[in-house]
Formats: sequence, structure tokens, C-alpha cells
Amino acid sequence: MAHDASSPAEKERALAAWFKAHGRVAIGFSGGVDSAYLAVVARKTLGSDGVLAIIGRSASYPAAQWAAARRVADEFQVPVLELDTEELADPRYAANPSNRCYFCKTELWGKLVPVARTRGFGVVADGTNADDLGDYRPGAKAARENAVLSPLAELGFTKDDIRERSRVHGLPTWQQPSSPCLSSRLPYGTSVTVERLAQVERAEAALRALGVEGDLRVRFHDDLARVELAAGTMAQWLEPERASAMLRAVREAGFERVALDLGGFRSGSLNVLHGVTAA
Amino acid sequence: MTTPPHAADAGDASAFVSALRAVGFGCTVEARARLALLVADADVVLRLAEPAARREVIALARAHGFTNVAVELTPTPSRTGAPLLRD
Repeated sequence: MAHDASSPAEKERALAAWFKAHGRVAIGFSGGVDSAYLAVVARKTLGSDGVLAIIGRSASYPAAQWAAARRVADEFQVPVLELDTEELADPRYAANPSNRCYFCKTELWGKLVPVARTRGFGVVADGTNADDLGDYRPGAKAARENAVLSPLAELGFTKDDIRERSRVHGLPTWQQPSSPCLSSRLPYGTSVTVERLAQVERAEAALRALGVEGDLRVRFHDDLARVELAAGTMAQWLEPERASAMLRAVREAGFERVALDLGGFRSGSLNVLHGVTAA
Repeated sequence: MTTPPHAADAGDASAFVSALRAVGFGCTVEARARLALLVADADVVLRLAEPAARREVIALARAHGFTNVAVELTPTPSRTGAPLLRD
């Protein structure tokens, strides 16, 4: 159960104590804000022998995210192991039900936990934070089933806490937008394929190259790409020249039509569109 | 396979179009379940750069059963200055 009555620095001291109490820890490592912070604090607390950051790689994991994960690991000397995961080969995942994440995390933890145990890591942790607990996250069930612990949530770390402490440690992720897997861009019921994930990834990479900053999602609606941007950046992309450039970039990625969502970026917007609420 | 949107889950596109026109946004609306896709001329798209205009359109969309509203991007008209030939 989360307990939260302290400053981010105090929570970090509690996190260091948590690591010391649990011994060698393997971390499910995506290179996102949360798992990067967790891995770096673990490395600083336990030393390089005490932590192993494990990356699960598949078509749903963006290449840019992988590169960012490796940069963090290199810079902070966090030992890394990479595993290939095969969630797209699971028809229950590929059908893209609203609990898709459960099947992904079952595949991830089902491979990661035994590997960690074999290498002498008795505890496996993930980067779930206290803010995540109110979201619809079926993947959390798979983590529980595999005895994966979530110290950031347990100790009451909010996303803001993690960003603040990441900034203090000099982590490049401190102001990085959240970055869920590429399958989150496909509406529930739209089957997940390698080709569709690659199409979304190309479109987002093209928009980054064009200068889009901050939160960005290209939502897949068959022929249509619905682009979500940070609200503060939207006005400039509605100007004719930039709108045309955005249109060209996303079309070159394989979409016929391109639309800008007027509500801007919303985490889990496809949940809203399909009426899925926190369970 | 893509699951088609259920008609009963769609917003009311025609009423939304009327509401938009009443406040000066001339456009068509393509309903994709609860996503309203606005197809509009460049001047209307440019008006949506204003946060207040976006808020107004979003509020109308929600009032007509849509959870999301997006505006389609279209190519910028040529600015070559070439004469437009007509028969």
C-alpha cells in the first residue's frame, strides 16, 4: 500500500533503504522516466553487481526508446541485459482487447523473471509509480502474478517526484514525455501487426524530425492518422505551411489521411474513445 | 481484422455540423464512432489555432456525443501566382 507524507528526497532515502533490504534487484527497464530513475538509484545504492536492468525488445518497443534506454544505462553504468519478447505471436495480444497489456506483461515477466532468478537476482521490480495506480492498467495483474514488486508505487512516488529526483541526478529522462508501447496507438479491437506498429513508429519519428516537441502520439485509425500534440504546441501546427509539412510527413509514413486532435495529447485517449475506465 | 464501430456508439454528426455552422464553423463532419473528423477549408482550420475556438468546438462535439474531435489536414493551396484558367 502506498504511503506518502514525505518530500521526494525523503522518498528517495526510503527507496535506497528498500533496495538495501531486498538485496540484488533486477529491473524491468524500458528507459522511460520511471524505470530509468529506479535503475539509477538501484545502481547507486547497490553497486553494479547488485542491479541488472533487463530490456524486453519487440516490435511494440520503439527503436528511439531503446536507444534512449541504452544511453542512460551507459551514462550511469547500469548493467543491461536484453531479451526478445514475442507478444505479437500471442493471438490474445494481437487481437488487441482492452486487457492487451496483460498478455504483453505476461510474456515479458514470464521470460524476464526466470532469467533474473537464474542470474542470482531474487527480486524483480518495475517502474510503476503511485500515479499509475488509478489508471486502467491490466498489465499490473501480470506483474503481481509473477511476484514483480513496484517500489516507487509502494513508497508513494508520484510522476512529479520522479521527475524532480531524476533532474537532481542529472538523468536525461527527467523531462522526457511518457512513452508507452506502440500498440497503445491502435484502438482496441484493431489487430496489432508488425506493419502497423512500424507505420506508427515511422510517422512519429518523421514528426520528431520535423520539430514536434513534447508529448506526441500518432493514433492509428486505419487510413487515418490522428495526431495528438501537447496543447501548448498545437497552434503552430495548424498554420498552413506547418500543417502541410505535417501532412506530407505522416503520409510518407503510410497513412492516407491525417488529422490533428483538437483536444491535444491525452494519455489513454483511446481508452476514452472506447469507454474503458479504470478497473 | 478491425472491429467496425457500432452505430449506436457514434456521435450525432448532422446535429454537430448544424451546431458548428451556427457559430460560424462551416465544415463537414465524418463520424468514426465517437471520433468526429472535421473536414474544413483552410481558413476554418487556421481559426482553430486559437485555443478559445478549439475549446468551443470540443464542447460542441461532446454535447453531440463525441469524445474526440480532430480536424483533417489538407495540402496548402499553391502560391505560385499562376493564372487560373477557365473555359
